[in-house]
This record gives sequence, structure tokens and C-alpha cells, in this order.
Amino acid sequence: MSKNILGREIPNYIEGYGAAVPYAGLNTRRPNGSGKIKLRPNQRGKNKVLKSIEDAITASGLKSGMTISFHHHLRNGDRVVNLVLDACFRMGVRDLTLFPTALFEVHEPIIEHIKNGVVRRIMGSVNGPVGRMVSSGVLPEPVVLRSHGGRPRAIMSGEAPIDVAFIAAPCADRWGNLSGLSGSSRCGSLGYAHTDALYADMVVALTDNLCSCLIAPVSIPQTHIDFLVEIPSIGDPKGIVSGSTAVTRDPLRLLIARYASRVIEASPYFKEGISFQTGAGGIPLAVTAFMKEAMIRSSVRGNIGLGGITGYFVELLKEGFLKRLLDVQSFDATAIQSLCEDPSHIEISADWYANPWNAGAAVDMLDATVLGATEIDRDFNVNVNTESDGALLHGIGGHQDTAAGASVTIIAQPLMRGRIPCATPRVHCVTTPGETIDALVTEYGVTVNPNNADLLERVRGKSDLPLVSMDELIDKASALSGRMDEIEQGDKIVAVIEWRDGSVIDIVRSRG
Amino acid sequence: MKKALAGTLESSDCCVTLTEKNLGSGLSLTVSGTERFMSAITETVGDVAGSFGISDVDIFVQDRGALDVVLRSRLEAAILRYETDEA
Amino acid sequence: MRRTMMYLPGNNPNMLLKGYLFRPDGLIFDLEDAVSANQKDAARILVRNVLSSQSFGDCEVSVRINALDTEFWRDDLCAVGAAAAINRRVNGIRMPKAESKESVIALDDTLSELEDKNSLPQGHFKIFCLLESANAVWKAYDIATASRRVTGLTPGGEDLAADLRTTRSREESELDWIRKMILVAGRAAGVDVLDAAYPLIHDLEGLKKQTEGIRQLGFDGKSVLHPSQIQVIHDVFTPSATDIEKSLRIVRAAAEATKNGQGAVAVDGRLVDVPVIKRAMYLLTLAGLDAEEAVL
Repeated sequence: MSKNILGREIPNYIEGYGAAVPYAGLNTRRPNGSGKIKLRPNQRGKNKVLKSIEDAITASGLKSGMTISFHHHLRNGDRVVNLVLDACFRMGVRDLTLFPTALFEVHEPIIEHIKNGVVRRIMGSVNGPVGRMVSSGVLPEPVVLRSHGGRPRAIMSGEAPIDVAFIAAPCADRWGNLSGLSGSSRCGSLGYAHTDALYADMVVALTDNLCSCLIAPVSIPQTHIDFLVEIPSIGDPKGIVSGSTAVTRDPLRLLIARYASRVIEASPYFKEGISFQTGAGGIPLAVTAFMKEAMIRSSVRGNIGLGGITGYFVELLKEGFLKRLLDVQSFDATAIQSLCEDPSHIEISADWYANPWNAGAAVDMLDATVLGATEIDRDFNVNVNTESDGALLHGIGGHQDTAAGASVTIIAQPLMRGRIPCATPRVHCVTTPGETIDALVTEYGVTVNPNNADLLERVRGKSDLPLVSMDELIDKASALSGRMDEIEQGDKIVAVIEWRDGSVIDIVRSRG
Repeated sequence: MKKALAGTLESSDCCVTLTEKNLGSGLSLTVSGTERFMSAITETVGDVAGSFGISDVDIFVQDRGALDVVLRSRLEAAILRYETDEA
Repeated sequence: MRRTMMYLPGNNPNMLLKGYLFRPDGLIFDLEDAVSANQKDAARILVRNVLSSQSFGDCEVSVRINALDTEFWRDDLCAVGAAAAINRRVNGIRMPKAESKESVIALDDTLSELEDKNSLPQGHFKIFCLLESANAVWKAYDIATASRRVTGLTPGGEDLAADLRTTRSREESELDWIRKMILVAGRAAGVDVLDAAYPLIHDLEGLKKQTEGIRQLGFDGKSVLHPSQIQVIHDVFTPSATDIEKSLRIVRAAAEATKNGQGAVAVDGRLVDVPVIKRAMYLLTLAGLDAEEAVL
């Protein structure tokens, strides 16, 4: 057991995970190892299209104990994960490692497959009922959480090899070219699937829209696809379009968004050519709207909009406030349409988006980013993974990556959610280290990280931005909430939280 | 059977319901909503019930993230209504 | 400054606890119209406890009690008194349906008793009178001068229109003369004049127009129903750069004249007298500048 530099205890060896390198700074580990892109014997004359998922499982050579991967571009409308696991169950394939880029409520049936032994281990986010189940310690091996950038890094370095990648494709042709741009299940960018397609030993695409002609444009080319299955439906369009793409109308959240936008304006980066990312979610989207107002007022035009792309960013592109959009995930119909039509709206892979070990990732181009948090502590360490009751809640998403890449990282969050404070002396677990966080913005005002003296000075002069120190904020929050009961924790490690470079930034133990 | 309630189920509020119990059966408390504040809520209920000298009631707190000052207020209002209820 | 005073519904914990974060100049904890009759008791307790135990930034804190012809107002005042005993910042009573100088005197007397009972200094509580009928508006000066506690006059909106036997229109032309009358009465009596709230919460353009109009009439501020209205009103009351610059020159000239022992103050070749200098200092306050610092 040793402590990493954030004071979190990390065992040297974690059962079901392996040797743990404790986090020791933003670049703890150096690039190491390399995964292989598998070469295939000549495929001429082969018909890739199979009749059923079962046939694909057989053809791919999927056996018990292997690792299978999925992307989450179909979000809460996805049908593919459940269908594949059901087929594995029927065929007696078990003890699989599930390696999705994220999971949603629609994936609750995984609970059954954990109980019946199809799924033994999960590398990816777990939330809702699956999260609570995992938090109680039911899986033999801990969940491994990686960021959007850390995941492709782990695949490309060979640390997280994939036996079979299952890629849901809204649009495909019989040679195996894939895209997300058309079809009833269209989802826009397929950015999270690219690395899996390149590095998995076997790649199976599933589509409900098999085109007779070669599709155009192509997102993932035929050179990576081994088999294709046509099924009636890969996803429910109502669940594919994200539920979180409306600007908040709550006055308190608007107040916070206004403060956050003003902080960006006060920073040295609010000038011609600014590049930024705001998450999807009520507050960040409102920040986008306020930033547009600020850009109009100051005659500033931006450069790149990054991330999960919503209609609000498309509007900024169309109206000339941004020059390009880099899209790793398209959140709504407007974004999908824009990706189809506008050459300045570019689909990027998760590797391009956020991999810390390539020749240059998009997150490093960011001047500013606005993120959320469940908890934040005196050292500005942020927790997005567990709820206040210690149950696993969210995946990391791009949090670590954008925080590390952006010049100004702002956490915009209400201080109190009901009676529960988000500012606390010590977070339950660390997702993103304090040194990457420049400011916290709450309804009480702006709390600047003392390690950014320049930003502190710039914000100090502004009469409409109340400044409050982190200590004051934590004291205030604690006075408001009163005494909180301790979370009962077991000994078993249920999750390992990796930093984007594969070092271990924290672990989560079982609840109760 | 005497019964009174105060408060709402809106966010940041709580609903407190007092129901009469048999004489001599003491105070009982049920809380739904937040797990992390059981001790704090129990202490506040005991405190307020004690200061109003109320007993032989069941107190049901449906919490929606109410701060202590709100819980105390709803308790006091429910007790006031309970005591003026002629049921 | 009383540019904005925001109503907080007395039975709504969320707004009572967080309203001050939107930084209006004042808060009005509302036990009257925002609370239904069967919740008056619960709201009173909630408001009393919140006022006693929380802080409200720099906001001026007042409570709108129920009218003196109801069964609620005495209990309301007891609650306010108890809160003020613990939190001295609680010092405003907003009196609905102020009809006559007699009713103001009755309230004044009750407030004196309340101050005694709660060991507060005499005169601690101020009164804001809501004039909600034609009769009240006609008697505005008498009402405003009925007690030294009276610190502000406000026209009622809906009730007033009904009493005039008309309805409240979007441009509120029917209230035009009412506003002017109250303005004159208030100035003559030496109290603040604060306009009624703009009821169309989502119409910020309409709010801006109305606020510009009442500012021009000479009003000191406006009631607020929703946080989104605050910034709009503050912007209207914030002086322009030209006004600020001119006020700075007046204030500096006045300070210079005092320093040199001169009686008359001249700016741009014209004599300016005390009311003008006072107005310039007030304008600088509105702009968020300290008049004394500005002189240096």
C-alpha cells in the first residue's frame, strides 16, 4: 500500500487488476508497449454479411473469458449491448470482460448477465442500478474506469486488448464501410468506435440500414470490419437523442452560468481565436449562450468548438463565432445534420480528441472548458464518479482530458444540491486532480485556485463577480448542511480509477 | 385519530406528518429521502418534539433535501396544527 | 439604494434561503399574497426561523405582513419581532392596503410595543406603505407623513386597477397619473418612491421600457417578482458614462469650493446649487462609486 501524491491510498497490487502505478503528476507514466493492428489473410471473395448475431459470435471466435467492446453513440436508445449479451447467454459464452465506452439506464439487463455469469468484469462506467449493484461488491473483479482519452491509449498500448469489438452502425454497406450519418438510428459521429475498429482482433458491425451502394461519406472503412450483421433495429431514436441538450431556465443555474462566462471573459484567453468546450447539460449550455453574448459585445470570434457537439455549437459555427467544430459525439439532430452538410464540422476519433500519448490531441487546443462535478475539495480535486452516498454514479467521460488540456478549466456547479454540499474538505474519491482546475463557480460566486495567481488578480477587480475562498465555501456548505453521517465502507475494492496515462489516481471500496 | 401535516414535497422542503398513537407509547420517527442525514434529522426531531413537550405521536418526515432550519420550521408548524386539531 | 426589492414567497424554502444570491438591493419576505390562507401559520414560522438564522449578503431585509383588516397581522409582527431580536438586519415592514394615516399610526404603535418587547431600539422598524386603492392614493401625503417610520411608498398594481374600475393593460396607461401623484406625495413627504412589480416575468423588453419610464419620472426603484428582472432594472438605473463623468466634475468642483472656503460652486461656467450636488453624489452611488473616493 502506498499513497499517491494526492494522499490517496493505492495498493501496489490490486486483485483482478494487476500492478498499480500510483498517480504522481499529470505525466506519471511514459508511453510503453504497443498494441498491434492485426493483419488479416486476404479477404477476396469473402461475404462479410452474416445472418444473425449468433453466427457472428461463432465466426469471430468469441470464447468464454474474452473481452468484448462497444461504443455508446446510441446512448439511452442502444439495443446492441443487450442483444449481444443475450446471444452470448444463449450460446453459453460466459466470464466475459465488458469494455463499453459508457453505459446507460437502458443497459440495466446487464444485471441479469452479471448474475448468470455472462459478464464477469466491466471496464467502463457503471451507473444507476448497475452502479449500485457493483458498489455492493458483487463483481469478482473491480471495475476499471478510464477517461475518453485514457481508453484509446490503453487499447493502443496493449494494456487493454480487445478480442471482439461490436460496432453499432446506423449506416453500412456489405463491404463493411460504416457511418453514423444516416438511417433511422443515425447518431452522427462514431468517434468512440474508431480505436476499437483498428485494434480489436475481430470486428463485428451491426446495422439496421444495410445500403446496396457503397456508402458515402465513410466514417470507419471496410479495412477494419471482419463481419456484418443486419438486424431489425440497433437503437431507439427517442433514446439516441440526448436528454440533456436544453439550456437551463432555473434562475440559480443561470446565475452560475453567467459567473462562469464572466470568468472566461476575465481570463487572458478571451480574445480573437478562442477555442472552447462546454459539456452538455443545463449549466454548460447556458455558458455557451452567455459566451456568445460576450463575443458579440467584444467583437471576438472563436476558432474551435470541441466535444460532444450540440445545436448551440452548430449555431455558433453557422453564425461565424467559431471556425470549426471537432465532433467526437453528436448530441442532437441539429449536430447530426450539420456533420452531414458542413465541411467545417469534422468527425474526430476519441484518440484525436483526447489521447495523451499521440502527436497532438484536440483537448490541448482548448483555451477554456466548463465542466461539472459531484464533489470538489480544499485542494480543488474533483469527483465525478461517485454519488454523495458513495455509490458509483458516472463515468469519467472527457473530464480528465479537457481539464488537463484546457488553459482555463472551470467547474460550474450549484454549491448545494438539496442538503448535500459539493464543496467538501476531502472528496470521497478523486477523478481529476486539483492542479488542473483553475476555478470553481457556484451560486455564491467565484473560487479561484490559488495556484493560478494571474486569474485571481483578473477576477478580483470585477465588481459583478463575488470572490469567495475555498475555505469559506466549505465552511458555508458545512454550516448549511449540518452533520452528515459517514459512508460505511467495506474493504473490497470495487473500482479502480485510472488517470489518463494509466496510473491509478484513486480506488473505490464497496458500500455497506 | 388526530393527524396533522406541514410542508411540501418540493425540492429543498420536507413534509412532516404527525399521527396520534396510543397513550404512553412514546415517540416514533420514520424518515424517507436522504440517507446521509439520519442522525441530524433524528436529533432535530427529538429536540423540537422535546421543547414542545409532545409525545405519543408518530412523526413521518418525507425529506426533499431540507436544511435543518426548514425541518425545524415544518416540525413546529405540524405540532402547532396537531395541537389545535380537534379530531 | 433601493433599485430592486425582490418578493420571496413565504412558504417556499428554496427562494427564502437563496433569494439574496441574486443580489437585489432588498428582499421582501412575503407573508401576504404569496401565501394561501391555510398556510399562513407554516409560512410565518418558516420566515421567522430563516430570518433569525441566515445571512442575506448586503440586501435590505423587509417582511410584507398581512393587511391590518385580517386576523393574521399581529401574529406576523410577533414573528418578525422575534426574528429581529436575533437578527438586527430585519428592519422593514411592508404594509399592504395602507388606507389612512390612522392605520399607519396603529401599526406604528404596535411596532413600538414590539421593539420594547424584543429589546430593540425605538424606531428600529421602518414602514413601506402599499397604496392599493384610489382612496389611499388620494391620501398618499397624509399616509407618508403619519409616522417617522414611513420610508417608502409603492402603488399597488392589480388591486388599484380594479379600484379605478378598469383593468391593468400592458402599457399601464391607467396607472400613469397614479404614479405621478404618488411620486409628488413621496417627495413632498421626503420618502422613497418605489414602483410596483412588472407582472409579465418573461417580457424583459417590456420591463425595460417601463423601468426607463418610471426612472424618468423620478422613481427610486421597483419591486421584483423573478430574479431575471433584477439585472434589467439595475442596468436602467446605472448611469451612463457621460452622466458619471459630469457628476464627477460636479462633486469635485463642490469639494474644491469647500476647500477654498468659497460659497458658490461653478461647473462649466454655471452655478450649481445643493440639490444638484446631492443628485450628482446619488448618481455616483448608483454607478457603484464612492463619492468621497471620487473626489480624491
